[in-house]
Amino acid sequence: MPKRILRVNMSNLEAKFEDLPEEYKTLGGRGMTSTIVAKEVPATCDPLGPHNKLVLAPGIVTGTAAPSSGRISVGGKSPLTGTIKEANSGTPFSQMVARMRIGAIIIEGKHEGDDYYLLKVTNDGAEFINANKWFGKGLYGVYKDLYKQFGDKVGICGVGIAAELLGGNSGVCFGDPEGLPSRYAGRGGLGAVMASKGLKFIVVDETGALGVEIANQEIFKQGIKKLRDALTTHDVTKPGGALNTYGTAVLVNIINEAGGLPQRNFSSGQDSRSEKVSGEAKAAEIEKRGGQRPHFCNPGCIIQCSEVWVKPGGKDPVGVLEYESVWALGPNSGIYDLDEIGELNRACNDLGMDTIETGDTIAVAMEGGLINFGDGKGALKLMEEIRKKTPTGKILANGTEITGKVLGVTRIPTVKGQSLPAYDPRAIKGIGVTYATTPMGADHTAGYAIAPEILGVGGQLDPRDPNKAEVSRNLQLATAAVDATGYCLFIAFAVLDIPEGLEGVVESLNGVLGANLTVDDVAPIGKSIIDTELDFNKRAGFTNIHDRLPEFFLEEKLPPTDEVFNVTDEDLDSVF
Amino acid sequence: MINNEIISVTVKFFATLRKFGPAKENLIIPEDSNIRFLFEKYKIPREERRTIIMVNGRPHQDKSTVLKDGDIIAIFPPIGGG
Repeated sequence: MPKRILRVNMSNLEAKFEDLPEEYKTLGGRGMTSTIVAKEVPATCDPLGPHNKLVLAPGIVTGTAAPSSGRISVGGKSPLTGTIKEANSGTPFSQMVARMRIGAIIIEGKHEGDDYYLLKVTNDGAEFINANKWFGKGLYGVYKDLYKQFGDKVGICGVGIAAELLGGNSGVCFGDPEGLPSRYAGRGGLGAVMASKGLKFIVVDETGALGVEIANQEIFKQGIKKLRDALTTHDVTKPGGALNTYGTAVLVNIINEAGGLPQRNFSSGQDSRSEKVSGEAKAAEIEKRGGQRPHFCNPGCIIQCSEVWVKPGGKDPVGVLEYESVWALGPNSGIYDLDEIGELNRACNDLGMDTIETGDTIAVAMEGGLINFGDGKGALKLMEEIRKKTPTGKILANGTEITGKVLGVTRIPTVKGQSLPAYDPRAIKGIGVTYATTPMGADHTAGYAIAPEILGVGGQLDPRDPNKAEVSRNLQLATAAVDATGYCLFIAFAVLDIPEGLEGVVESLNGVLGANLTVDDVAPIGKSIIDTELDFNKRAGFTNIHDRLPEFFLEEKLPPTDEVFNVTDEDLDSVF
Repeated sequence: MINNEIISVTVKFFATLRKFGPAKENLIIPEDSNIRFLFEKYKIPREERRTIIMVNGRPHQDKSTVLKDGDIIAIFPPIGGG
């Protein structure tokens, strides 16, 4: 059986399998979602109207024995940015969809009326189940219900209360291997797109699935061995290395030392209290409390950067506290208490919200005087406003830019409406070039210049040197290609330094696809994806003037480095 | 030539390197000491010597970097994330 598309029409509640068109056969992940969105979604459509579509696609090697490859891409037109959007997550859900030989799930149309639905997908078809009883409910409880009802072998994807509000802050939530609602394709408000159509949940049951077809087993096995060797030997990704031992929040201290860890809504780049919420401090606390560390977000991951954060005494698991989440809900909001950050992260997961956008929103709300910087309990009360769907909650659910404007804040850290992640672009300029120019709105993962600028991976560049157009471009092209494969972006730490690892990645793709790609094809594959996305954005009305950082980054010096973002407009325009 | 001048620096070790060195310590060391001197002082094992070294927030320093009075030296193992 060849790969299929599951097309789901929410207007008439019909779901049917279609053959995957010939021209989509080599696509996966972001390559698949962006191609389908660019082709099928009118660029000028209302992101929350009937003409937008939500596309979910596992990567090319997802569902196979390839290590660290359980990513799923979610795409559509973003209600937060107005651009094309791809957000991705690691989750068993993706591996199940891939093993069912479903190359993409396309959600289209819009259900009229107030009902919400759950889509149950099996190997042979799909059915709609009324989901009204879970309306207005937190996702921790709902996911428990769903696993109880459908069995613990299913994969679950869903949206929460923030999506019911059609908030630009809402993500698409996937279950982790233990069923916690903690794995998010978080950015860009794609949760609202799903909810706008009347769809609350997708449950996949892979019983009877045939598994991913592999055209050339020999090449595939050779490739994944090379990649596995690279991942288990590289200092960043190996078992017992810093990422595995401390998780992604191991970055807190190094970015703080570099003066690039934004504090109190991007008003400083360093604070000695950041140490209290570092990966080192968190790992020690998890061990003391009896949480889990390391942990994986999908079976087959070698890197295992994940964890399960718990309350004192080992109670009430939250899931992972990622670096970006810890920063956004912590230092950027003047909060230096892991328990408060943990509860804010729990609230984000429960309400179905992107932690980065939420943390930035809380920070501008603090600057706007709604509560004070550092007021963790006040921040939790703001999350309850969203849960209760009060007018304040509805504003907050729409993200950083809208909240800032409503409250008269002029320092709003967004690009194309999406809030900045955990690296100040004044102290670390290459990542600022990525924020400004990626088709996604401010997104660190789109071209992670931190690797060469701070971490010394893939080169060593001075973070304060403004000449970063080329490195940002090259990283953005490589990243788009990785996002199509289904591999976790973190494999890049190893394969940027170990050439055999990159060869292994390409061989694993050739094994699955029966293709003859070489490492020289990686950048062109990435370029074709980004060209597709840029063309969509152009048709949606975006021009170079949208590829800029907010003015305060250009004029307000960042303590303690006293740097401003001094990359020229010409340089930004030269990226693409 | 023996140099009797001394300087004061702050050294910080992070993540897996805290098994060997302090989270933060002020040190009085001979003038013209380089970063290698710190690795030897704290007996950082040879297999742990692939590190990210920052001096006053500037990364990519190597072990031959000569230290000045008041420098803050932050030493990390290879790390990633994001």
